[in-house]
Amino acid sequence: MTVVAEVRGLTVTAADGSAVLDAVGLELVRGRVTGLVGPSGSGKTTLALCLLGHLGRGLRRTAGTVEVTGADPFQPAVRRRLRGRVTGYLPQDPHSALDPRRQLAAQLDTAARIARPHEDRAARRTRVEQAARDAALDLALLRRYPGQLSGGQAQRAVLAWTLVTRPELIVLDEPTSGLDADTAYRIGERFTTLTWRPAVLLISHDIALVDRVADVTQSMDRGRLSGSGRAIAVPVPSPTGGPSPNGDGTGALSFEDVTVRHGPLYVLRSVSGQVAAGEMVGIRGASGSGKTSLARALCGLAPPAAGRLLVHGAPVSWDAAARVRAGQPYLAYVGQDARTALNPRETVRRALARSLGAAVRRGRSGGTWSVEEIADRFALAPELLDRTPERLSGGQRHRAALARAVAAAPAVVVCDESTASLDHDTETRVLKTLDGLRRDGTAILLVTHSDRVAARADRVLTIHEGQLR
Amino acid sequence: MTLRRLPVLMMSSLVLIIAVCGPWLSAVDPDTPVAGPFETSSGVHLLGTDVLGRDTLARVLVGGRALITQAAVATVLGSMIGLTVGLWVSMTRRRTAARFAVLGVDALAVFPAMLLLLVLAAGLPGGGAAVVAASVLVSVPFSVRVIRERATAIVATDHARSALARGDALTVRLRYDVLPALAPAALAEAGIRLVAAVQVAATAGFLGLGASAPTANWGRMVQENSAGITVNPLPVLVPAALLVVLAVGVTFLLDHITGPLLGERDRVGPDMVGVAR
Repeated sequence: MTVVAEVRGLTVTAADGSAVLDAVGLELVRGRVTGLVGPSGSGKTTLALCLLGHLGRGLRRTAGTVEVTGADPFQPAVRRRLRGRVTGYLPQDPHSALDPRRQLAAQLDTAARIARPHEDRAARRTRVEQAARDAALDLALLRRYPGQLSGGQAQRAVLAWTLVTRPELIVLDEPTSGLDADTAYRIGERFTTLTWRPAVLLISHDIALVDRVADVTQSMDRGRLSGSGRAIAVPVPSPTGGPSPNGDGTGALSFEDVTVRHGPLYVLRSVSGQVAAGEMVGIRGASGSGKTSLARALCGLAPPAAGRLLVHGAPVSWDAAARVRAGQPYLAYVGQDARTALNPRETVRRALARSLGAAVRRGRSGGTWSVEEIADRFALAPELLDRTPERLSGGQRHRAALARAVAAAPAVVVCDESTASLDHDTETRVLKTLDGLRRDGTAILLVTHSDRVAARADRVLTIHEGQLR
Repeated sequence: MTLRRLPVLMMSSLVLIIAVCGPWLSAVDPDTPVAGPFETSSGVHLLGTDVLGRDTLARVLVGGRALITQAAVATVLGSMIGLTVGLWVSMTRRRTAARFAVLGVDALAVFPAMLLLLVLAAGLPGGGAAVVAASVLVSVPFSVRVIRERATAIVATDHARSALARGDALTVRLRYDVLPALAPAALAEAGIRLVAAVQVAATAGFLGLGASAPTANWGRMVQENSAGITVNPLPVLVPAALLVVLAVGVTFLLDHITGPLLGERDRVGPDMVGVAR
């Protein structure tokens, strides 16, 4: 049993003196998958970054040591030597990790070349293809640019990138948040069967996945690690709420013959659908099937090639700016990548205040809410309000983006995997808030891979091969 | 940072102070001959005298202000125009109009700075107006291109687009979404333009354009006194050195002042993506 990485008594404090990590001890053993679960904002990503020798902005290490293959990654020279060779890291928000101007194959090739400079081209190609297969990534996708990938495909591409160097320590931060259950499980299985037997740290909110894949599970709460072992029960999909169709029959949102094309590639062919006011509709489909394309088209962010859109029976333009000019209703989009969705220079408070202002301008009832109230509905603690996005955790960013969209009192909210990186309790709370919103007559579309989220929807539509059913 | 930066910082500030406050400090009239031409440094005339026997020190003290004023006014004007046009081009929905505007601005970039300077100096009556106008005309095409490039990327970010979709007013979007992100590029751009404007202003002096003959100007001093460089090199070397330090120092000062304002960050931590690279 070889210990690849060891963390001893690690304490990391934020600028205000509060502990982000509190005397954390962790051993990562060769050939073993260690699961790390815990509520959003509890310090999981901070711990992962410490294994790479990085500290977030404003954070300080006050005690403890980190050793990766016997060396201290906090020393710059060691960090450079380990990075991409000994340690592989899969960050949250995968789209921001890929170079938008290079094909995947080229990026993976570069990663392989950096790790093993002396290999010839053919050996590198085999290595890249093997990594793609390990990450359940279709080889045909290697020819694409990151902009042509769906959220789940980008996630698998970054995973392939992590695997291509065959690192001894793999740190995965939410590797499956954008994937359907089948693909997630398929990938999860590979972690245990990788031929070079790396030590894996798997951070995830998907407790079912961690339970199935991890040999040891650690749970983190407010910077403290507790409970090794596997005593974490898989939560049953909550029956609360359940399908409660209270739509009044008038189509709040209906779209007809929507066709979305990326160049010669048809993503959606003549898709039609309807959502009643106060209805919550789930949209599912395999990774890369066009869910996000449909969501962005509806919200006016990427006009489709053809189609008609009606909101409350009145035709609405496909271009968001034109909607504003014509005083047409606002359809809010909450995206997969919360990092780009939020203004990096803006505190949560100001983002919410601006959004509330938009509701007031449109004379919607949402304007009566205060910033604190709306933040509380999305489980954002008051002290988070004055932070900029970079000082929020991944899950907190998602909730901030969601709160911002809802604060503007839109006619329709389209959530694209917005709850994928939330822990169970927070997810329940967020879904409850959305439920309340729908009772006020807002139509809600949930693009999701999660059975639990889909179970809360009134009905579920599935996209398969360009068709919506 | 401080210790290593301090000498450069002091030197560039000193040149600026000399240029701006110099005219108040000079005790001798810079335009009347006080001794023979090209006399070397002495107790009375610290830097000797120039081609017409005027006190070099007095002329050095007086000769910087017009230069700096011209450069500063040209930079402010040019940056404002560049920023306005660049932002309009990248945010307007009249794509065709924007394309033609950029074409028109590009056409301006074809004219060499010197040609513009000569033509304008012939047309505009005396003073620094011609110099300022030439500097502005030369800098605007480049500013527009840089600002447009950056602003287009900013306007396309998810958060800026969601603000647009939400119906936030143009001023609100400019203030919170666009300008803060644009500021580093705009300031860096203004810094380069300032150096270019100093160059144009100095060249104008060298060519004898701008304010008419007796007025002191560092650029003109280099030209006037180059004939006597073997006898007394100071009337050439001192203004030339001041020009160099001014050009370097101005960008340095700008970086020094704006760096902390914009929050120069060591981009490490959760903010850093793609650590695996």
